[in-house]
Amino acid sequence: MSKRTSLNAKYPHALPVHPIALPELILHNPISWIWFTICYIKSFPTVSRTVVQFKDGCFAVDSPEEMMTLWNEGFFGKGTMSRSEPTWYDRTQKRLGLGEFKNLTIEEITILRREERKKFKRERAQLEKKQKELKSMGIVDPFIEERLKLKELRDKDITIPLERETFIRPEDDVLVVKGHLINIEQLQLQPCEVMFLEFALQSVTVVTDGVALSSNQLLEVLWPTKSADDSFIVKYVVYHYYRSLGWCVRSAIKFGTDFLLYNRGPPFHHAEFALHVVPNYNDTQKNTATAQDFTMLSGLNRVIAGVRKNLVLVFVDIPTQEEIDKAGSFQDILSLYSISEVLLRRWVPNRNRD
Amino acid sequence: MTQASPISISVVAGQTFLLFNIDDIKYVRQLGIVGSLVGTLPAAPQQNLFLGVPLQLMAEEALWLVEHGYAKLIPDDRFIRDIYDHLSDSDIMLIERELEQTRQKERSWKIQEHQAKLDRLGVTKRGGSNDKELIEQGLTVVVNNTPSRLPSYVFFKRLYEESDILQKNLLSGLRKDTLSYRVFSYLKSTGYYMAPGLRFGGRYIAYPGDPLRFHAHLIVNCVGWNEDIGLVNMVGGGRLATGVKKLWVIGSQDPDKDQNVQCFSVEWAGFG
Repeated sequence: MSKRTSLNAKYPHALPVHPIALPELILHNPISWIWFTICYIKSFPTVSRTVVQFKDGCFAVDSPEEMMTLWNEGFFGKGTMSRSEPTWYDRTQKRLGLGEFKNLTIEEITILRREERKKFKRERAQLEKKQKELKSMGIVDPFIEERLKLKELRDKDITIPLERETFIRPEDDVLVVKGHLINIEQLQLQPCEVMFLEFALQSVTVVTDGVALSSNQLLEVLWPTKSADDSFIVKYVVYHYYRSLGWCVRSAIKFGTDFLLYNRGPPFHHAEFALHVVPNYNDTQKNTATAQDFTMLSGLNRVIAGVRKNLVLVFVDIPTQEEIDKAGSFQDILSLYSISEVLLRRWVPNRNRD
Repeated sequence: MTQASPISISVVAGQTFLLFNIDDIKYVRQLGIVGSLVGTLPAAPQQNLFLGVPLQLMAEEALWLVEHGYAKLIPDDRFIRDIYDHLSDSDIMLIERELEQTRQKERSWKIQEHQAKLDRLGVTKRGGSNDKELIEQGLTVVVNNTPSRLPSYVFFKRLYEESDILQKNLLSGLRKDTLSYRVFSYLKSTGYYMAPGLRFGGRYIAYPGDPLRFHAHLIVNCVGWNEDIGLVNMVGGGRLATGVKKLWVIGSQDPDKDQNVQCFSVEWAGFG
């Protein structure tokens, strides 16, 4: 089974919405027609519902199953103790020697990759040193075999160690109750993500102090000012736009900008685009006042280009405050905004000749 | 290292500072001012490597040189035109007096010459008013085509070489009191060499010594004391700086307290 099909099987849903699953229709087999019809009538689209706790200005999911639902179906949120996918439980179980052996988490893969890379660099340095010595003696490179080996080392996939090394710290006593590890990790959601799950998919219940919030109450929490250029609404417009076009949108704070666009999700591909949200007013003076200086933009572009992504400036046209105040529903408010994109790329005549 | 008189920095269009003299460029380099060479060969207008003279200085570098008495600013014709527009009556009188003086000198010299000529020719009969008219006609007509023949040349030369007020005016026009200049001179005083930091998303990059011998250590940003840095910008800056093995530095100064510029550095730390 190739990597892609296994990923497809692991992440069948792009959002926590499950469309009707229909069996295969075989034209020359009337029984399959009946079965198809029964399935069509009986099944209906479902939405995976999750409960989000709102506390101290943070949105978090506690239950491990719901955490995985949100991660697997649309890659929402971030584990509070992990890089992105909530893997703390798995990693800690492994470290403490509890439970069964599971696949490597992304954090562990990163560590292994770095070690392999270090090893390769060490070997290469040794070989280069030898070559230099021989060259000074007048002998020209007899190391064909060694170089092939080096190349192999570079292209080699990481080896997964099968035996586990356990490592116990004194503070671990509190974590293990009756031989079982308790999960202390949460999945944290961005305001945009919560709003999208609530407003667009209606798949979450936001609870604060044991009381469920309605859609309007949530909006009140997220966007209390109701001002047309509030950073929440401007970012939400962008988030909603790209999510509805089928992209997987995640925070790009680690690259110093607003959003990353993944084709399907982090396990499938690297993000191709980084979005920088820029409010665009009708008033030139205001645009000038809020514009960021070019130095900052060039620095940002360098960071993004350094990780092989493209920087997209997303301009959000800000409607007037009167229009916002007049609009009835949140849907009406959203339709007042419009978006245009500019792809920014550094162009050096000497390096971009072909 | 020592230079008898301050070197001249040409100011073009009030904002570009250029040095054309190789010796001057060597001199400022010894003072820790690097600048950037911007001259291209006429045959290769798209050249962007191995540039030559002139050396362009950052405004801060030019200001620093002038403030420490190493250089004087020589403005371009636009500036002079500007002065013309703002001349006071006494200035105009001064210029006219100068003009009249040179004319007077010339007149007396002509008369002497005329007398000598008449004496040589042995003419004893003097024409009186007729002669005077001839002399007046023989006076040089001043054509303003070279600066040395401009009647006001002397005046302007003195104005911007001797007058501290003018140099100060030029400096104040360059916003000497900005935060970025204060950060620049603070870092300069601690021995750093500065270069423009646009490539690295900062105001300056700072080298611990001559850029030919060292890599830059700092990417310096100037931020107002109460200005919002923006956490996301800090992440981006920190990431960029760490990626190129530098420190991301914020330089600022508390406006309420009379103290030195303070610098803070941000480093990208990896967890786990």
